[in-house]
Amino acid sequence: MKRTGNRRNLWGAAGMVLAATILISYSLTLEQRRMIGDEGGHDPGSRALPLGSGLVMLFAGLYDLGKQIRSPKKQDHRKSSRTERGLFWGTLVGSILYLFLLERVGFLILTTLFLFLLFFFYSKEAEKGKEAVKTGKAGQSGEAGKHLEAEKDIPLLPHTPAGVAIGVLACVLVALCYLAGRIVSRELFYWGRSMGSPVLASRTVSVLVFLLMSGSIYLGALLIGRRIAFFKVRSMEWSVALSVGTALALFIVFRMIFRVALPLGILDL
Amino acid sequence: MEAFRIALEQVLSIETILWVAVGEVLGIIIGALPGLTATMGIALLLPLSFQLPFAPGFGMLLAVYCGAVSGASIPAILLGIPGNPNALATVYDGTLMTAKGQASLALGSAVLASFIGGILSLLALVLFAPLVARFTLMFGPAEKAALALVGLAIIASISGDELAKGIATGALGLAIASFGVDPFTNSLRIPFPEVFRETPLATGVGLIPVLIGLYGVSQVFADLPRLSAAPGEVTLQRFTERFPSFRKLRSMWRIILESTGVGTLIGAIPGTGASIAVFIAYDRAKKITASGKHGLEPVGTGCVEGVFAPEVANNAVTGGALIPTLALGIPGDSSTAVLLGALLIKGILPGYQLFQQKMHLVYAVFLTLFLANLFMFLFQLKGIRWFARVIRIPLAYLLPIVLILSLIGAYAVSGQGFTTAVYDTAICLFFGLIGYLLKKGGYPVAPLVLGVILGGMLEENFRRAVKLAQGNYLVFFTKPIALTFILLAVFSVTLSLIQKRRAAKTMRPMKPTLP
Repeated sequence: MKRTGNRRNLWGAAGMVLAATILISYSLTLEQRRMIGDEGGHDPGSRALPLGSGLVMLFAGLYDLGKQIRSPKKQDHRKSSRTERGLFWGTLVGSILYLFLLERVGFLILTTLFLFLLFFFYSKEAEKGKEAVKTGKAGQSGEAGKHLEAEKDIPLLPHTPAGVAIGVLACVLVALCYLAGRIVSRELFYWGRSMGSPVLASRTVSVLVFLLMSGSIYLGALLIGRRIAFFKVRSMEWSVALSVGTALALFIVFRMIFRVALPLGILDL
Repeated sequence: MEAFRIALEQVLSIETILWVAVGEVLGIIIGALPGLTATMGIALLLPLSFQLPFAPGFGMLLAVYCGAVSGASIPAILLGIPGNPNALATVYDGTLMTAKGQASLALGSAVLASFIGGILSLLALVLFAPLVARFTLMFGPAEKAALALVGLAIIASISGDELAKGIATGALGLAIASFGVDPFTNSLRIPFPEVFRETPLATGVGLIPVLIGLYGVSQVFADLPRLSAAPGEVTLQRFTERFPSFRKLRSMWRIILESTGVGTLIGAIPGTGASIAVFIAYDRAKKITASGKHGLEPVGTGCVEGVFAPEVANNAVTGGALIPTLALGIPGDSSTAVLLGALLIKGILPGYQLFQQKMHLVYAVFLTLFLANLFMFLFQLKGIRWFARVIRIPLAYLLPIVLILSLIGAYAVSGQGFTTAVYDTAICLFFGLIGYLLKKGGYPVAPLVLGVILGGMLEENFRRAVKLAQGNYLVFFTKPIALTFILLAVFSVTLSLIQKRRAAKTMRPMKPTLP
């Protein structure tokens, strides 16, 4: 256990030294240019800051490295489990994919899907803690933050096709909410313009109508889902509700209120 | 007077009041959630403030700051877990009071103390910031460069456990600030210029994506292991509005004044922050109440005095930390570093010119800070039972929302240009990873942020000073003010190290006994 912490500090210091070396090498490749009117050559030049920073980093990193080698600091780090590492890489790769697919798939669908998956897997991981409390492994209440080793790691893929189906369902729901809000607010906007009513054609009315329409469908779908006990797993229900709700809320705030050009992707009809 | 009238008009608009209220609620929620910090909250809301006019935008960020500092007392009192480092010392007497069945009184005292601390430090800000700003008239390039270096050196030495690590990340921040175009020669300073010349990276990395990445995304990665942690149990009782009596308040006058003084002063020293102030205030209160005279209960036994002292101090830090931020452009702590970033993004340069030419903006800051403190008091007072429920929100639902807010926040900065927006989001993700790796290696993130913010100021003034001194690098030691700054840095670093040691000593014998 303690070895992990010591090694991590050592790797951290070594990483800093490596970063400093790269920075210094890069600084030396930069063209050294001085400010206009500096005939005397007194200006330290454009290379001064990156090079100086690199040297400071190198000295500080070497000092830290030496310290870690001489007297490694005892830290109580635990080794991360396979699931934790999976979640880390999953989150990172998922975020990169999110960036690459944003324009093609569109903000609403992709955000809903991404959030659904994150909620789903994170909730699965969180259930371990609850299980441990139930089985009495957590010790006294209030010991929050104490890490527990679960019996076995939970697989990182939905074990039933239902998981995939509900993810698709969340995307359909967000698309329905968007289309309902969009169609009604757009028609109202055109109608307002043709009638010469600036109030109906205003952005505030558009936002409010969109909110009303999409919100009604969203809440209606959730209520129906609960009534017919569609979601057998509580965390699944929450994942759908939160992913669709968050995506819609962000869309309204950023795209509709602040006019940020969030791509619509496949919903751009 | 005209400037004050303009500021008052801006602050009393529906838009400002609404956004300050939104910021306050979010701030209290962020503060109440263990692990989420005021700095992260401010960083996440930067893109929204960027879209708003100055008064509502900056007011919202100030409200998040005040709300998060104050809201941290909720889990500290109810769970024994400080929401963030600002509430570290509140845990002791807070949990003991909860164990005695006095949770409502403890929460009420924390709210009242936060309000008193916030308002008194605001007064200090109003009085001292213009005086400090006037002082900057005497600054030339050498003094400005020394000041930037001083801010960086202090925060580097204080924000982490080890000085070398803080210096290394501070230097890394300076290097990142140097990417892009050289301010004097317009030459490109980017790696692989053939590849990146035509991309948005050619102009350097944007401040907002860096801040959001370092405080938002990295927090998500760092918190992943906490997902499987056993959840803390909290029994939500019926909370009532309970305050200490007026008589009690009167008997605590010395604690209130000393805690305010400590909080404001510590806050005003660049790089220190609330986590040091709360322990000093707690220690002082312990000494004041040791005799048990004047109707005061000894601190450490689960009493109002033990909650009041740290809570007055941590909110007094908010006003204090804004003094060097507004007057000198040197942030008092990591939260004000992000606030400084918000000012710079809006094209507002702190210092005497701000006080001379844009006084209405300074008044707007003062007034919105007052509004933020007022809302903090009212919202916490009326909504304490709701905010107390916030601590039950599972991390599994919080982390994805923080991640998506970070990514979309970084994307939104560029607004209309898709390519630039995607680059900004990628930078945010990259710095999220860097922040995570730094945290894992035990490196503090705050010096890096300050390095990025102060890099431009340091480079421009350093080069100008050396050029004016005809290549003499000793110019910083021959100018009295620059030399004073350097000595001040040495002094405050030594002082804070002593204070840290003292605070650790104070902490040890007072381990709270959890119910």
